[in-house]
Amino acid sequence: MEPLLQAVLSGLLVGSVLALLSAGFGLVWGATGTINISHTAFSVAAAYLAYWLTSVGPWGFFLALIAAPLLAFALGVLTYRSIVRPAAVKVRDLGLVTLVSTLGIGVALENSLAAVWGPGPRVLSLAVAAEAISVFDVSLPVGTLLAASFAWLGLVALWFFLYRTYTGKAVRAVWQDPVGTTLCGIDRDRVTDIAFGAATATAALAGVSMALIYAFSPAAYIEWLIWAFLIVIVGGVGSLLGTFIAGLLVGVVSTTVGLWVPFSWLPAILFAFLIGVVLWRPTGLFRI
Amino acid sequence: MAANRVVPYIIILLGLLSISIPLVIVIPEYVLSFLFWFLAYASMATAWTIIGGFAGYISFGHGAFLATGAYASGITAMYLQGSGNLSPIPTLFVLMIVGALSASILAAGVGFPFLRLRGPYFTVASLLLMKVSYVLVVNTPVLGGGGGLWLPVPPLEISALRYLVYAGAVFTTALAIFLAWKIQHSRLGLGLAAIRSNEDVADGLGVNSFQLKLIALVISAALTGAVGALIAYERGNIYPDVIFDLNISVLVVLSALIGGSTNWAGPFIGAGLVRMFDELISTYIGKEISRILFGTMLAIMILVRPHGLLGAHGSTKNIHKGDLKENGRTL
Repeated sequence: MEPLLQAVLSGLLVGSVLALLSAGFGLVWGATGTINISHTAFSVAAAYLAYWLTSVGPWGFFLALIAAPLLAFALGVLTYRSIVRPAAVKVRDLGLVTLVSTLGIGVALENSLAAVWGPGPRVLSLAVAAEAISVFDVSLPVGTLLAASFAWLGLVALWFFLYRTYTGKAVRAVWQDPVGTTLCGIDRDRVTDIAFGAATATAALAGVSMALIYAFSPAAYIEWLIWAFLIVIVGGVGSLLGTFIAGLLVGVVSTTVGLWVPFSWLPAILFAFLIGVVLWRPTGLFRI
Repeated sequence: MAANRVVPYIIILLGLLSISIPLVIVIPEYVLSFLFWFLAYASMATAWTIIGGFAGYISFGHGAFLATGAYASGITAMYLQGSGNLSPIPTLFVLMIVGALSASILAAGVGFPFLRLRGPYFTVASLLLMKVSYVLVVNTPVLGGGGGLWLPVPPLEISALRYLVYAGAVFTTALAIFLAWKIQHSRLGLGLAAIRSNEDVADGLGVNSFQLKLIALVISAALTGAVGALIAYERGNIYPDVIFDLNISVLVVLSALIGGSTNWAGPFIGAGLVRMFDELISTYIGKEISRILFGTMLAIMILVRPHGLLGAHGSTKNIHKGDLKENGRTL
């Protein structure tokens, strides 16, 4: 029983981080119709920023925790303005065009990271994160606990932004009815700027959190992206609560499946599952 | 308009003539190797454009077809070696046919579900197909797992081997270009162009869009699989990390987009440009820099000239203009 409990608990923690990673991806997909492949590339870049700053000094990690989302916000707005907005004016299939275009940005980012740090995997070494806390005979690494708490922080902040602030409500309005929003006098360009920036900022926070749990390499963004895709599609595009639940679900499944199936098969199982979901119900399994 | 029609023929003719020169006279090995990879990319890009350009179904999963061709031919090569000695030329021919067949079987299999998806969903599914097949291959001991598969050494001198695979690449490229040309000027090509412009309208007008897409995907995959067999034979080994490299797909798609993905001659020209710059930048500045540039170019190209230098011409161009006006959706 204990291995199962252990797996479920760490699945819930990892799942929260995955939920944060996916929330922003789903947000821009829902609000602007953009499929932003570079979303997780920003996460990986944030992980490298944290890795670099941590190696400079012990305070570096916390600096990265603050700096990464801020930088990512600016880069997200830049991506939105240079790619999505020009594309939206002239192309028919915005999802497809932005997908290809942001994949290009992802490749550029990946290779920028590889040029500096090399293509091999890196591990963030934070002294505190290596320790473990035991609760009810279950030992949980501090790194994972920290990562999950950052994720909850990020998710709560995102929820607060979307449901309790005027700008967030405007974002959700654009999400539901773009034309109606404009008729109400809402500046769509400004709102989507902020939505894109906020999404990328959460991606960066999630990237720093992921670095506490997993090793990362420049090419990891495609794998992370597939996680985000899986979670957003399972949870339903445009549902924060759905994304959160799907994130936890995927997290728990990924850690518990490892009890019975060799870990190296896990991606194949999950990806095959995702192909199935995409084929069967591309709009998502749940509508919450 | 006339110039636009004639220019591709002249370029292709000159290109194919000039790349046949190494078959007649001896040239440095480095140049030969560069030309081989150019042809491999040119045929992959031309094959890609049959589904990705003509029908507008952008796939980043052609790496799966490439790998299927490579692995199937690799296994066959080992079997052939065990069953007695065949001379290299028929062997390579058989391997390429095996590669093409296996990839087209995979394409027919995944085409049934995947081609019902549209736009970004198809693209994502194709990306996933590549990832799933990568994990499957890495976990299959018969295929060498993560350590890769080593093909039996052909009974040939290394320079003769290079010329042989080079001849194979010239043949595949010529075949791919011929097929793309033939398809573009046939009912199939017209149907695919209609699907690209507006699939629902095409369906409504009696185009059997699913059948056409499936045929296009199978042809595209078969050519890609043949290239996979060639690459495996040339390298003598198959590493999953190399054959499933996403950068191959990015360069192939970029070649098609730069040259013109709706024109049979575009990918060949695009591949020439892309390979040349990749080689120059990788050699003199660095591989990463080259990929950063290509990534950025992919991002810009799809926005500025989604149909490339040669682009959609003739009647389809007008259809597209109409589309743009109707769909002036802004954010």
